[in-house]
Amino acid sequence: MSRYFLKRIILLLPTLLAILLAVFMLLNVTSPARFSGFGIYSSGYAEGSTDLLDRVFESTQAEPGLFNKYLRYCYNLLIHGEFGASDSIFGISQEIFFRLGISLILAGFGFLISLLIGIPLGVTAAIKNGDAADRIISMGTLVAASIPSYTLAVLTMVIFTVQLRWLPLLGLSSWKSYVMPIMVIAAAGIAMTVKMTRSAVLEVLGKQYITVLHAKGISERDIIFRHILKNSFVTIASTLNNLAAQLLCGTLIAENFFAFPGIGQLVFRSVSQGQPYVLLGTVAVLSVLLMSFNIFFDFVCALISPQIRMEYSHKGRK
Amino acid sequence: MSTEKASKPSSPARRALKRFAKNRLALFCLAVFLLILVVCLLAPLFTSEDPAELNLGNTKQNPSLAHPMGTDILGRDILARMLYGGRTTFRICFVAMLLSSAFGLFFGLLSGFFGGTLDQMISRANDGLASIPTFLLAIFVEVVTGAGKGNYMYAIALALTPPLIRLTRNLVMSIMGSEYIEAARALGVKNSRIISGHVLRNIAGPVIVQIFSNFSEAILTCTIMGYLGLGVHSPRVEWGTIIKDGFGFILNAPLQIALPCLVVFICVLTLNIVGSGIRDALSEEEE
Repeated sequence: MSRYFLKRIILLLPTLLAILLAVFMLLNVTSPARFSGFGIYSSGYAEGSTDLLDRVFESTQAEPGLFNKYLRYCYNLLIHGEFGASDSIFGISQEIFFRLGISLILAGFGFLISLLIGIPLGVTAAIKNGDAADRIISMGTLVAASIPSYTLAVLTMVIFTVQLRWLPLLGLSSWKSYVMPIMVIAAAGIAMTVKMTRSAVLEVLGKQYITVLHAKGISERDIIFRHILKNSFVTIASTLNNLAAQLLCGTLIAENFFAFPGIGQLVFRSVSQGQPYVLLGTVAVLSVLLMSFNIFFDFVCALISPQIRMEYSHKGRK
Repeated sequence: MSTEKASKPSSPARRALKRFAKNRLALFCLAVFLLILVVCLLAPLFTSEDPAELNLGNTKQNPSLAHPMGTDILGRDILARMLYGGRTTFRICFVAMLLSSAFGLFFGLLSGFFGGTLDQMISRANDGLASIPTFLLAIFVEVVTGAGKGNYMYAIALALTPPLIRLTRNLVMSIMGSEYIEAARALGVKNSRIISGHVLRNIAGPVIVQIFSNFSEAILTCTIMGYLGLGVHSPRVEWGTIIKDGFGFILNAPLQIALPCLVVFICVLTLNIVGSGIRDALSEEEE
């Protein structure tokens, strides 16, 4: 099994290079007017050049091919950890990783809260399938999933900032600033978690061994906690990867509602202020992060399910 | 459905339709959504105002008979903007839904029907596509193709495709071992006939439900992009843009943002309820 996961970790690098190639080429065929200040257009970047920029593109003047530029970019990225130049007083890599940390705090808390609230609700809804409790939870989930996130953001601002005066409106000033964005992110996450938990538990409930357990007179509590939950956790764990990716996407968006200095705001700024290398760098970091999520959650699934472990060790040998 | 003969009164599709018709909440929601859709599509019949016409002497009005949803900071009639904006929003979402359905079905069928290396390639590419955040995709498309033309509908289409490919592939794979497929193969039926005659018909239910939920997902994403300022540029309007315009005056004219938000919410909610109604109607058949 470890061989299989090692293979996937090694495969991260060529995948990253392929993604970077596609994004790099696309940004290069883009008209400079659309991306004013796009550094690759020589006249543009000569004026605003910094030491770093010159270093990155030192040799590109000698070998002007697009592909050579791309190779140079990858070389600098992988060997020196440099993402090119930006107008910021920080280097791009400093800025990206600083902001990534903030975004991960938001997404991480959103993820935890989604699981802590969503899984119990989903299990309750599935066990009480068809009852009033199930109908209330399912309807609530449907409503929560239908509220546009900006509406929720505006509502929290009106309630917690304007009416109650508890939380700051925009930006990041203290721990209080995290509360509203996390609420917005978690609302979508809870709705998703309830939905997937409910269907995962319902699937197990329909299995014959549950009927057998009932027939043997095992207590309802034991059936729920020792058999149903344990078996449905594998299905739930296999959807966590999707949940994490969705929540990270939600975080990028929610940051822009609250002017939060995370990576989502950086993406937006990189476009509006014409900093292509920032965009390129964010794409690189985010894609590596999301692919690592993928591997990590598959690993967790393999840890809790012997069946999946078998499958992977078979694949690893191939 | 239409290909069924009249002599067969209870095809699975017809039985599902009958069950759906008994679900009053879903029917009501379908009616509400269709009403909003039709009113937006026939915008000129329902409002005589020009959505782009400024009236600086009449700004930030509360709802009245002349302006049922009030006016915005530049004195433009919000109802007219919502109706004409709805056309843009629905058009973007519809194109996104159609494109994602076409791509999703095509690659899902290829992947599930032929399996093997092709399946591996499509699935890996699909995983890659699914791991790109929609927001990043939308910004990227806007930068590459030029902002303000509503091109982010292609980004929405790309974002909606991976789940559909995965669903179609898994459904097709699950029926590939069935006797009727083997029988058709043994009889020498062409692949194209098997796909159109057997495979598509048997996976239709869940796929339709997914396509339906894609539409409401598209409305959410589309208005979020508009709200973030990635929407279409003036004079064209889009729901998200109208909501963004109202944000600045949330304290002295809250209805300017509340009413458009409510319309979007109702649209998405009714669509979701109809979608879950369809799913219930189809899933009872299996039991």
